[in-house]
Parts: sequence; C-alpha cells; structure tokens
Amino acid sequence: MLEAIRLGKVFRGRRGSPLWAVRGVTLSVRKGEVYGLIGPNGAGKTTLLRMIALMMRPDEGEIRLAGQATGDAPDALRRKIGFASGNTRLYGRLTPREILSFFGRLYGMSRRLIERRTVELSGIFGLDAFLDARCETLSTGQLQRVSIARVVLHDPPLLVLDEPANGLDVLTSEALFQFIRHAGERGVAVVLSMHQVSAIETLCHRVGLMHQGRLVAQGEPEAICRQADAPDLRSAFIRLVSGSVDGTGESVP
Amino acid sequence: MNWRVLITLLGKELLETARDRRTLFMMIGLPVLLYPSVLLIGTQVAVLRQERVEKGVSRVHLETASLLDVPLIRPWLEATGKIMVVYSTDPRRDLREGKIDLIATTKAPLSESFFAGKSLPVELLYDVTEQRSLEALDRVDKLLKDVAEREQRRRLENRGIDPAEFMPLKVTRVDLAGNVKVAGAILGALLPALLIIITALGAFYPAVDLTAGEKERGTLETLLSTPVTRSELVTGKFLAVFCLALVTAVVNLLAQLGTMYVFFGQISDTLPGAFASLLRNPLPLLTVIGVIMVPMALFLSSLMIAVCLFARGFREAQTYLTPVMLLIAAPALIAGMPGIRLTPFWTFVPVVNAVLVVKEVMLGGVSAQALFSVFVSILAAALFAIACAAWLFQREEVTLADEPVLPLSLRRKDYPPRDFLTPSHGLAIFGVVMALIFYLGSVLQARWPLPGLFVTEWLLVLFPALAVLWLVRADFRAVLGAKRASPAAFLAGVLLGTGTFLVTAAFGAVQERFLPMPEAFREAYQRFFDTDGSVLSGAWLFLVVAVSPAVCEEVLFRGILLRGFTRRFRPWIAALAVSVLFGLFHLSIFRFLPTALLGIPLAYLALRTGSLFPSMLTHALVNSLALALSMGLVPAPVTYWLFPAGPDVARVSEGALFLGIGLVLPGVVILERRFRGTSP
Repeated sequence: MLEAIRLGKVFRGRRGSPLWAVRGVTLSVRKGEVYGLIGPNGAGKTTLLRMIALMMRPDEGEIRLAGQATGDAPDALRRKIGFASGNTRLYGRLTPREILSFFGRLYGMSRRLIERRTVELSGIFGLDAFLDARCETLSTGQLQRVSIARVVLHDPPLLVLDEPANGLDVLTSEALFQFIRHAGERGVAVVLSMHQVSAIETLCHRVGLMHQGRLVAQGEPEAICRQADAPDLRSAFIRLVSGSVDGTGESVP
Repeated sequence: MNWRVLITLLGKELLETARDRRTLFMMIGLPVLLYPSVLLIGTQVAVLRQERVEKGVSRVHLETASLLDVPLIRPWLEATGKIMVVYSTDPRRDLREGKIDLIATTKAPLSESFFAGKSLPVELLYDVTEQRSLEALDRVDKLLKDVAEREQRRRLENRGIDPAEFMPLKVTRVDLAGNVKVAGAILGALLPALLIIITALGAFYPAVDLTAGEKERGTLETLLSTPVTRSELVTGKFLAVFCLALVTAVVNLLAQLGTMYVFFGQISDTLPGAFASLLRNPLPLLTVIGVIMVPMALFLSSLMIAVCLFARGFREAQTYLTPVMLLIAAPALIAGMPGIRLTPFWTFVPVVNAVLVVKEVMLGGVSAQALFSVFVSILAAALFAIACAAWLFQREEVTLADEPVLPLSLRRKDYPPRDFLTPSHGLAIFGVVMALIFYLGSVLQARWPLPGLFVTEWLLVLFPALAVLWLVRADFRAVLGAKRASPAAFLAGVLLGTGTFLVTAAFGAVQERFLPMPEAFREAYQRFFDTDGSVLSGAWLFLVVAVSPAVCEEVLFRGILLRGFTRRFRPWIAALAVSVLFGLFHLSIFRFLPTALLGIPLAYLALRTGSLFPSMLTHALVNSLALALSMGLVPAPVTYWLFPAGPDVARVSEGALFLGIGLVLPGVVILERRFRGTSP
C-alpha cells in the first residue's frame, strides 16, 4: 500500500546550517498492516508522518502509494489518506454534522454519500447525542470520536495517525486502539506514532524505531527485542536509543 | 482550481465568522452604532459653534487718541448692530483670554486727521487662533472701509472730481467654489478615509481569525491533510476575508448616508441647500465608491492575509497587523486633507489614490480616464498582494511551523549567546533609536545644535544599540563585522564615497527645484556651521559632524541592520532596505534621497569587504566633504568648476557628475576584483 524510499527532509537550523530532520528512511506498509513508529522527542516522527501523509514534500527520496508515484500530484492523492495528529483539531464554532459535511465535500463526496456515512459513523462512534452541538461545548473524548469519524469519513485505504492517543483517558484510548485493530482487520494500512510503547507492542504488526532522523531498527516487535537482547519493546527502545547514540537530538519542526 | 471546493471553503469560513460575536460586532455593530453617532455629534457641535460665531455680537474695545472721539467713532462700529463697543481695563489680556474679540486703536485725534482732510491711522489687534476674533476683525474692517470710502467720495466731490477717476480698478470677489464644493471639501476630507479605514478594520479580524487563528486552534493542519490544494485553500480564505471586508464597507457606507439624511433633516436651513443635492442624487458618488471599493477590499484583504501568515497565533498576528493598519490609516487621512488633489503620481499609490478619487467626485466630478487608472492601479496592487499570499501559503515553514518564538526578556541570562541578529532584532533596535531621537534628540539639537548632535549620536544611537547587543549576548565582532580590513578596502571606500557624494550633489539643484528646502530649514541647518573660526572650534565641528555620525551610524546601519538583514534576504535587497532606513533616519524629506543614495555604496562596501571600518572611514570622509563645502573651505574655482550653475539653477552639474562617476568606477573595480567571494 505504502512505500517510502530513502526519505529525507532538511530544515534550516538556528544558525542557517542545514539540519536533517529525517534522513534515509525506507519503509513499506502492506494492506491491513499496522505499522508503529516509536522514538524520543525530536526524532523526526512527526516530519516523517507529515511526508507520508503528503502534507510535506520530501527533499530526498520518494513515496509510492498503491504503486503510484506521488511526486507530481500529491494533492489529489491525499484522498486516499486519512490523517490525524495532536494538531488536527476541529472547528469549535461548527457542529460535528457540519464538520463531517464540510470535510466530505472537500474529499469530493456527494451530498447523499456524506449523509449516509454520517449516519453510519454516528452509529459506530456514538455521535448521535451531540451531532448538532457546537464542538466548543464537547468533551475531549467526544471530540476525539468526532475526529476519528472525520478521518475515516471518506473510507481511506491508508491511515496516518500521529500521537492519536495524546490527552486521552484510559477508556477512550482503549476505544481508539480497538478502532485501529478493526481498521487493520478490514484491510486498511495504518501508520502511527505513539509514546505508549506497550500499546504499540500489542497493536502493531511491525515497529520502526526512530532516532535523530534515522530509522535505527525496524521489524516485528519480537525481532527488535531479540536484536537489542531485551525482554520487551520498552527496554529494547531504551537500550537502542541510549546505546547507539548519545543524548537526544535537537528538536525540529 | 475547483469551484465546488472554493464554495465549500468560503461557506465554512463565512458560517464560522457569522457565529463569532466579536468579528460580527466589529463588522456590523461598530459602524452602525458608534461611528454615525460620533459623526453626528461632531458635525453638529462644529456647525453650532460656527453658527454662534456668525450670529453672535463681536465685543470690541475702542481706544482713541482723544477722548472726545469716542462718541463719534462708536456709531461707525455699531452701525450694523453686530458689534458692541465695550470697555476693558486690560484690553490685551482680555483679548488673549477671549473676554473681548478685538481692540481698535486710533493713532491721531479725529480733528487733526480725519476732519482735517488727512488720513487717520487705525490699528486693529486680534487673535488669529480665535474664530470669534477673526469674525470681529472681518466686520470691523468692512465697516471702516465703508466709512473710508464714503469720506473719500465726499472729499473728491468737494473738489469737483469724479470719484471714478481715482478708482481705475474696481475689484469684486466672487467665490465660484459654490456650496457643493465647500461642503464636499469638508466631507471629502472625512468620508473616503473613514471608508477605507473601516474596510481595513472589517478585514482585520477575519484575516487574523482565518489564518493565524486557524493555526493557533490547530485546525489548519486538519485542512492541509485534505486533497484541497494550497492555492484553493488560500483563495477560499482570501474570498472570505474579501466578502467580509466588502460587507463591512457597504454596511458602513449605508450607515454614513443614513446618518447624513437624518442630519440634514434637522438643520437643513443652516446648511448650503446645494449640498443637499449631492445627497439627493448620490448615484455618481456611490458608483465611484463601488468601482473603487471592490479592488480596494481585494487589496486590503490579501495584504492582511499575507502579513498574518507570518504569525503563529492570534496575538502575534494582531501585533503584526497594527503597523499595517497605521500604514493604511495615515496616508488615507493625509490624502483626505484639503488641497491634495489626484495627480498622475498619486494615481499609482494604493490607498491614497482611492481616497483622492472619491474626494474628486465630492468636489464636483472625476474623469472616466482617472477613475479607470485608479481602478487598474489598485487592482494591480491587489493582484500582487494575492500572489504574495499564495506564494507564502505554498511554503511549509509558513503553514506548518511550530517552532517557538524567542521570549522578550530584560534578563541577560534568558538569552543564549549568539553570533548573529535577525532582521526583526535589528528593526527593534532601529525603532528604539528612532523614538529616542524623535523625542529627545530633536529637542536637544534645537536647543544646543552641536552638543545636541554629539549627545544624539553617542548616547541615543550608539549606546542603545550596543546595550541591546550586550543584553542579548551577541558576539560584537561577528554581529557588527568589526574586523581588520586591507588598505585596498579603504582606498575603494574613499573612491566610492567621494564619487557618490559628487554624483548626489550634482543632482542637488534638480531636487531643489522639485522639492525646495524652506528657508527656515536651511537656516537651522546652517546654524550647525556657525563657528568663531578658531582651530579648536573647527576640530570640535569636525568631531561632531564628521566623526561621530560615521562611528555611531555605521554601527547601527552597516553593522547591526545590514548584517541582520543579509541573514534573511539577498544581499542587494538587504542593502536597499537598510539604505531606505538610513534615509528615513535623517528625519527630513529633503535629505532622504541624498542620504538613502549614500547608504547604497556604504552597504556595498561593508558587504564586499566584510568589515565595518572602511564604511566608517568613507562616511566620515563624505561628511567632511559636505562640511568643507558648507563652510566655504573649498577654493572658489574648484567649487565653481564642480557646480558651475550655482545652487539656484535647476540643472545637473556635469563637472561633479562626471568626476563622481570617474571615482566610483575604479572603486567598484577594486571591490569586485579584490574582494569578490570574500564577503560572508
């Protein structure tokens, strides 16, 4: 479904010198596969996910989506992607119904299709009670449900989720993980980053460990544990990051 | 560009704005409620004051050379009943305090002058700042002239002479401006400027809300993840801001017209009836406003969106837009003032041209050609601003930046050590220095010219600049370019500096023709060079006028500002921008062009050699040359050869021009051959 080949992204550093936020990252995600990214703050996860979601153009390498090169027409190809991050919030002055209708039209869906999907998703995520209340009046958990409904509204074959569980309580997080598992089972490819390493371990088929812009380890959770000679992914993470290179990288946008 | 997407985006932005009470109030509530009431009360107060002056009786204190004359002169003044002769013990003080309106003094007894067939000198003392005093002057002057004319006629007829023989000219004044023009002039000053300012205010909040507000609320990234292109996104936002600005303009215009109708109903008898006709048929006015306001709203919205895109949040955007609002409001208000008319030059200056074209209509009409030119020029400016906004929106560092801003702090330890400053640091320092010069330096220099200038340069320019560098822990040598330079660099500086000085001086006479320096300015300028001729005072003058500016101004302009600007912009843009600031720094419209032009070779020198010292030397040299010329230290034949036409003839002095070019060229050659590629 998704192939990223030797991706690189460079920013201008504080002193004008080039600063590679991501460099030489190659990964692929099959249909129905859930791929998890872990790494310390500033490792380049957000930049990598933004490039995969075709919101940022890579300075090196290329991204292929369902076998199609994305270089020339990234705008139209975003139709195949559902993206959510801590920064993809919702319009406070609009209601969930208006938000779904707005984004549906941006994804080129017909009015009838939008209405059908809204009813469907309201059922799945339990939005009925607040479908016509302004988002500024909703709780964090309710907003998260609307957000996910927004991401899957156009039924994308690839989901890119950057820290989707940030700020969620245990119950809401669990519901989210449930949803991600289901998406995988339905054949949707999922790439996500998360700080909860234990959740990643149970949720993801494969895991990539990022550090200072590079993918330092990649594979099934058990394989990574074996590689680092650690009992669990959490210990493997700590061992690989603190052992391979010193300190944490400089934070990049 | 997908129309369906654009309409969806526009609809969402409008729906969101309609649900925002603050923006809605700024758009509709403010013009409908506040503005008309201010206009109404303001105009009424002004009219009532004027009326009171015209209907009121003028109080005149009469002083005669002989007490016997009072009962004779008094009837002259009180003939119309609009003047009352009053008695005051201290007439001058009472006049100043507004207790009386005029003092009339006769300088000779009537019996010895007026009645003896001679002339009676009369002095009228008045206060030009008081409307009532001016009115009294007008009345008394007219009455006395009538008396004089009657007496003249009587005397001539007594001698059997036809009075017409003694009046070869009889001048009558007829004011052709008419009432429409007068009323138009008053309203013309206000209405168009307010219209533009209110439209800008109408664009202000939506522009902030739809760009920086969306970024701050974190909804922009949601939008960027959809298949909508960046161009569609920025166009949708731009259309929304444009619609809202236009709605604000229309609401405001209707509110203004409505106010005036109400206003005319109340006091129609006291105002020129013809003025009402402008309002009875406001169609031409509305047409022109319609034609102009559409591109104007386009321009204002795209300009504001472009500026707001740089901001990371709501508050930051408001900070950025405040000077933009001032840049719009100030020229709008100035263009509204009486006397400024639509010339070909102003046709191409956005904001000013819109104000002037609306004013022209109110003053009686505007040609279709002029209207078209203004329309096209505003449209061009609008398209340029739209292109800028669209270009900015394509840039990821603008739309997806989440880097925190450096805090503003007065504690030195809050700043990490640095070896460069950004343009905004430089501009902040420049702003502080300008404020100090404006409020402190100009006062000091007016009082004590030379010491004032000395203190201004060292304490108000150099000291604050270095203090900020110390505060933010900047590396002085790197930030200023304070490093050694080779003799060749200094030689190039001498050639460039002398040459540029001669070239700008060669055009001095031409500038004088288009922008003559008022005598008062020239005198104030010349006052700097008044010395007693001793060696000591000459050295002091040299230190203040030549050395101090060279050191202090170079640190600020070719050091902090230029090096800061080159971090963000191409070198030639940085050099131009800093030179414009250098011209503005001199706070004189007459010196702007010469000083800004001089800034260019200085910046070029500093950039090519990588050192501040050659430009310091060059600056000192140029100021010394100007000093020597002003003081007449240059031998007359040389001066005459350089500027043969003299300062009063408006033509380019070829001698100075060719010698100047002849010096600049080798300077450029040295810099290009020896220093190319060595600049930072």
